[in-house]
This record gives sequence, C-alpha cells and structure tokens, in this order.
Amino acid sequence: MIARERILSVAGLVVGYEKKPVLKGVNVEVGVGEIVAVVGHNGAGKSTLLKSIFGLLPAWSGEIVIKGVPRQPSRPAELLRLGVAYVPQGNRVFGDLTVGENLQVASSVLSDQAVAKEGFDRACDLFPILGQRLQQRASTLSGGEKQMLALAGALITRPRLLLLDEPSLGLGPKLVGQALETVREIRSSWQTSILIVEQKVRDVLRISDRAYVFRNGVISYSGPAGDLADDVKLKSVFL
Amino acid sequence: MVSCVDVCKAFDGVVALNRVSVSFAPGQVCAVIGPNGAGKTTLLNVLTGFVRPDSGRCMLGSTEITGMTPNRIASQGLTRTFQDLRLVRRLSVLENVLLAFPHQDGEKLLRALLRVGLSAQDAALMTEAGEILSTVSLGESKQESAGDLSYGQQKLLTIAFCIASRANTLLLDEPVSGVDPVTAERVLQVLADLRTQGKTLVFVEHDISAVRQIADRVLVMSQGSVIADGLPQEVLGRPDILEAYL
Repeated sequence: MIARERILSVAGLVVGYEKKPVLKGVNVEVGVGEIVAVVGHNGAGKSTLLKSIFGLLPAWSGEIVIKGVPRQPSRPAELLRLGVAYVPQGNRVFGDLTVGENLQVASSVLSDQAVAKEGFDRACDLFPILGQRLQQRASTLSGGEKQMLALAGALITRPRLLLLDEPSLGLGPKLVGQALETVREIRSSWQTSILIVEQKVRDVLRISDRAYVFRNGVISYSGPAGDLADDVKLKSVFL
Repeated sequence: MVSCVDVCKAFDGVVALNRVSVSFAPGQVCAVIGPNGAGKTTLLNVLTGFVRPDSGRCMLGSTEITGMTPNRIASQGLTRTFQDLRLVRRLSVLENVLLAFPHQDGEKLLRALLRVGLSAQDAALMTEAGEILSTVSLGESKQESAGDLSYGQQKLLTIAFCIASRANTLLLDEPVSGVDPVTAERVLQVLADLRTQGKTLVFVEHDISAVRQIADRVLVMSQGSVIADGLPQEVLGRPDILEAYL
C-alpha cells in the first residue's frame, strides 16, 4: 500500500493470450511521482501487464484505474491524450523515416503546436545525439540510439504516467547506468510517474522507490525497492 | 572460415565500418563487444548479406559472398539471429522451426503441387524439429503461437532456427540481452553444446559475464573499427577497454 495519491491502480487483473492466462489476478499501484519497478523471469507477465494497462491486450477480469477513472476497456490513443505513454520492448521506431520525422509523428498526437515544439526541443536536449541526427534514417541508428529515439518519442507527449518496457535492452554496460539515470531525471524534471519493467534487476532497483516481483503471473513480492538490495531476500522472491 | 577484408560501410554519411578486416576460424567462439553504435551489428549484416558494403570483400571459405543475397549466403552454411528476433509470430513454435530446414520438398513448385498430405520428409523434419525444441527447452511450447512466447523463449526459438538450418557458422546478435538469469544460463549451455559439435559461433553481446563464460576470443569494436582482438582474459583486462566500454 502506498501513502501518496495514486495515478495508477490495477486490481485483480487477469489477462492472457488465447486461452492461456498470463497474469492471474495481480494488484499494482503507482503513486504520483513514483518510480515503480516490475522485475521477474521471462514469461512472468511483466510486459503483459504494460500492454494491458495501455489497452493493447484486453483484460479478462479485474480493474485498471488511471487518475481515479476506471479505464476498461481502454484505447491507446485515448490514453495518450490522457497523459499515458508506453515505450515497448525492442526499439520500435519507424525505420524508413528519419529521426526528425519519427519525432514529428510522436508529437502529432498533441493538438497544441507550441507544446509539440517544446516537447521536441526537450527530447533533443535530453538526447543530444538525436538532435545531431535529425536527417538520418532511423533504421540506420544503432540499437541504443533507436532506444533513445523511442523514449524521446514518448516524452514529447509530456506523459504524466510513463510505461517503460526494458529501456536498457541492447545497451552497452556504460549506457545501462546512463539510461536508468535518465529515467530518474525524467521523473525529477518532468514530474512523471514511471512504471518500469527491467531485466537489469540491480540497476533498476537502485533508481526505484518500490518494486514488484512477478513469478508465473502472480506477485511474489511488493514493497520498497531498497528492501531487495539484500541478495538473500532478492533470491528468495525472484527464484 | 568466414572473413572480410577492408570492409567499409557508411549510413547517410555516418561511418559504421571503417576498413574492417577479420576472420573467424572454424570451431571458434568469438564475442564481438563494444559501445552502442560501434558497428557490431553492421558487421553481422555485411557478413550475412543484409547490408552491402561500400567497399571491401567478404568470404565464406574460398567463396566470395560480397553482395550475395542473404538466402544464398544462408544456403552456403552461414546463418544468424537478429536483435529484433524476426519470428513468424502467428505461426506455432514448431512451424517456425520447420521453416528453417533447408532443401525441403515443398520448396520446388512442381513438387509442392504434386504433394498430397505429409511426405516422409515432412514427418522426419517434424520429429527433428521437436527434438531441437526440446534441446532449447521449448519442447512443451511447440503448439503455442511464437508471438505468445516470452522474450527469453523467443530468443531460444531463434537459436532453434539456426540449429535447424544446419549451418556450420552461426552469427548471433545479443543472444542473452533481455533474458532472465535462468534462461540466459540455458542459452549459454545451448551455445556451449553447439561449440562441442564444431560449429563456429560469432556473437555480439553486452553481457560480459556471458562473454567470459563461453568466448575463446574477444573482438572489440569502436566507431567502426576493430580496436582489440585476443583472448578474453587479455582483452577484458585492458585498462583502455575498461575505460571506453566497461
């Protein structure tokens, strides 16, 4: 249970693919301004949780409440306008478009052009390499640069709630730390609440306020991220 | 042996490979490491025909493969995996593996038209596909849609493709990235088994513990060039490599 105001409450969520349930009744909360980590094995249901919150996978049962309003079923476009952004796993960018065009597409959801321009500029400030490569086709970026572009696209919409699926995927050892520091910076300078799925468990726990450990579609731990710093405790809930 | 000589490639003016010359000996397990944007994946793309180099040559044994299409290179025994996996998500896990076997009866139009039901070859390949899936711990998931597997399981499936392709040289792009520790151990065990079968493995990876575990050679790239090449214990202990990358 969290003390602060909640931006997201997921209660009793059951969801899966075809007839196979992946999440078997999970409860997840994110407070305003919090960074909340979701960790666990591949197949535990972490990415499924994010997809379901963002309306990409219909819930079989349970409730998803965003900013106090039940959102079931929810539509991604609606959620974007509400201030929810989702960065899926695996560098999803438009490869045939340039970096600049990718960012323009991301900002097209905003009706106010001044706000869109400001978001564009701030994203380029946060990731200067993108600002230098606005004319480069996105397919020719490295994996790490594509990851930055995907994140920048989400940030342009000035989200209140950011759903991040493995932002460190494909990044070199030095960049992993930097990427997660950027996540912390987004929270502090943009006041964004963040629900982050990550396989680099120790790194993500270092920047998170609270954590959930998923195991086979249920939650084996929920509580302060710092409490999992102890190896024995982490192994007992993770393995 | 797979090799390239003086290979250059630039994208929209950004140099990705700058006169790279490397060769990978049969049976070798070589890790390619380096910062993002160093040119590691581009090297794999050039060797497998997905990207044509601006200059330089690529060889597989004594055959020049520069400019060959990826399918022709694969048919010569050089296959690969991708960072973005590239599965046929709506097909079952078993069907995905069946697609990877070379020289199937159904590849020829006339034979495909004349076929009725399962051929003896189909039945044998289905059995073999099942065995390969068991090897990579996906035996129980063979009827599931590939798109419904977890990310780690999908990575194992892409390695199953490589095994089914019967290629002798496998280029793997980040085989354990995004994979949980238990599944990563499984992936590394599968790769170790492939090494004992005499396969040549070249893998791009950021997970240095995985590199230490199975590589017998490490190649370090930075800004499109090879900046170090040698035994893992030598290369990974160099102060300049530690500073630049680790």
